[in-house]
Amino acid sequence: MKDYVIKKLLLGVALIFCVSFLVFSMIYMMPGDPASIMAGQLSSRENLEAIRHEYGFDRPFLVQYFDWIRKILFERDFGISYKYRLPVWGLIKTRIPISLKLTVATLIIENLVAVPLGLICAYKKDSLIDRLAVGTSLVLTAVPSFWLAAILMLVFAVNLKLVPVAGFESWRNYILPIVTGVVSGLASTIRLTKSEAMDALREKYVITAYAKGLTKRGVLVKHVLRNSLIIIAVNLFLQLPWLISGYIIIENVFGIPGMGNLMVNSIVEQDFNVIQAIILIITTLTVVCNILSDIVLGILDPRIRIAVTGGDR
Amino acid sequence: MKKHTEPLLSVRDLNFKFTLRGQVLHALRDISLDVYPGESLAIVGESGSGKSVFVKCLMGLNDLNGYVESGSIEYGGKDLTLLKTDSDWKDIRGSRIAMVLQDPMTSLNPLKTIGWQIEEAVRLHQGLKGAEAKKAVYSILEEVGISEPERRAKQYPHEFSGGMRQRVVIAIAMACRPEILICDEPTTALDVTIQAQILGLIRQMQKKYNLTTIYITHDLGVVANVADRIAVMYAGEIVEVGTSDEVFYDPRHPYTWALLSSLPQLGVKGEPLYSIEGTPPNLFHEVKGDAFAPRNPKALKIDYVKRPPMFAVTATHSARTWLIDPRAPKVDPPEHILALRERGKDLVAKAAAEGTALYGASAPEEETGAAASAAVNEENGSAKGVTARG
Repeated sequence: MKDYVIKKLLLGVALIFCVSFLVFSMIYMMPGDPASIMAGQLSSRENLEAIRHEYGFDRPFLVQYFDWIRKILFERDFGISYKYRLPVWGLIKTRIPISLKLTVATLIIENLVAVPLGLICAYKKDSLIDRLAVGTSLVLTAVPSFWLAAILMLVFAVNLKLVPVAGFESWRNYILPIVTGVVSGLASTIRLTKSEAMDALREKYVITAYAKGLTKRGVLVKHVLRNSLIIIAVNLFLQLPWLISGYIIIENVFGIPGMGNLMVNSIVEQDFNVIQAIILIITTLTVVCNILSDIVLGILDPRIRIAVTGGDR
Repeated sequence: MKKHTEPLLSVRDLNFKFTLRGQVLHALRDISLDVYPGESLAIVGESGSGKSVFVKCLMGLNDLNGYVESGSIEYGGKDLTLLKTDSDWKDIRGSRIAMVLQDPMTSLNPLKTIGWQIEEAVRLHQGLKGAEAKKAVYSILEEVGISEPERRAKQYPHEFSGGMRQRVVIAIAMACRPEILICDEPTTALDVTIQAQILGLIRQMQKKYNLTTIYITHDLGVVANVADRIAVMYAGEIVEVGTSDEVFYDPRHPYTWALLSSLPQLGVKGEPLYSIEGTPPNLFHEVKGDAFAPRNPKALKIDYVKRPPMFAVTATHSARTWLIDPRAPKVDPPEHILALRERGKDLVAKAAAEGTALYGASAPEEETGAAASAAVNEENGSAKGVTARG
């Protein structure tokens, strides 16, 4: 197991480096030059040169890249935001917890709703509750989240005045964004749970378990549920990065100052250092979640555990 | 030779149907069959003939869209067709009837150690707990031929080979201490050398615990090896039933002829293998007359009109074909079937002389089983002489 985790970690680190390289080259691939953005369009050539020199844009590409990496790793310095003229880390630091709070809450609520529903749908396939749950969630997922966010806001905040329209001061501000997030992820989790549980129900070992004389309850809990939970647990971790990117737009609609909000603003302003930092953070989070899901899978499924460890437990 | 006049389990006129998307599938049509204590009964038939559905009826394991329309299954003073809920089945499933499923690769839970899976049955049916249950697991594992049981019990199914897994599946069934063991194609997924071992193991368990075994198979080689009695199923009905010798050496139903004819062992080298023309009838529609008639080149007129009843050939042998009716014209079975009959004559006569019931617990592999299997497993070379086929 230890070798397995170490291998996954090394792969993850390598992946993050690859992404960081791509992200850093972005500056050179995109139109516009950071110096001219900082100086403004009408700045003189001398002024531009001075800015280039001051920020080190005139150095060779690789030197700049490794300098950037070194600063991030050892000084937690992601550079300066061209727009705010403030350290990027300082800008992001306060926004990470807000985004994480939103996504984790969404994740938990979504799974608390979707997993039991999926199990019921699988067990009572083709019943009213199955059709209702699958149909409704499918329609809701097909609705774009920004549109849903706007509609929810109109109905519950503007017309009914049940919750505040925007802001982030009280927990009530988070209700609508979380509902939006939950709704847009619901169908996929319900369907995943349902199909996993249905596969498990169809397995021969379920017949073996019945033939053994176990009651329905015993079979469902000990054989069906346990076996379908593997994929559900893995899915939990894999959903997190998706949700974070999903919130890039929802945060903007509700005016919640999370990472997504900052990211959109930075893209508009061509604030490269901020964009790079956020992409890097989301990448790292994705990689970490993937590693975690692999580890969970290894713990829950003995077939994988043994395949990766050669039998030491 | 022991005589068993009282059946252990008795099925009478069982009709079983499934509803599928508004249509009704008549899966079992008027099945009547007795199972005698201690015997090995083989149910033979092609895929879709209803043999699996039939044994699942005995354990209430059919899908929920299936239902018993009429008939009864008498077992232990109860009518099994009346059992509905899991708690109704509690005293039967596992405790009195256990089952070995077809494919050992998928019939074990991949996430649980095999020790855990056997222990589950031990706890339920032997009422043991903790260390005692563990001990029982080890001894069962040893009994089914798995060495180092204490180490193996901690392993997962994927760490076992196919044959070993089938041994584990048998161990689970035996841990239930059943009276009847149903083996649903127990060797289909295994290679030939392992097949013999597994059949040997089942037979060993049968002797040791005085089990009654019901085999479902489409492999006549397996049947010849293990069965005391054979029931041939076609299109949801039993078309012929008799002792192993009677069915192998004196088959009466054209479908049984065709089935035996398609045995590669009875074929002649260089000639194409025999195969039955056509396909089985669609059971979504009611079958008129003899279900096999459209595929039977020698079918009588009446076969298309009226369904034949079960005709008794001897006290133990009966077949559902008009050919046995005294008014029927004489239709001879294919020549190689006649040749088989020639060879089996002595055996069948001997059986008749000894009374009605040849099926018994007395060393089947030496008498009935071995004789039948010798005929079936005969090599092409020596079979040539007696199976000149047209």
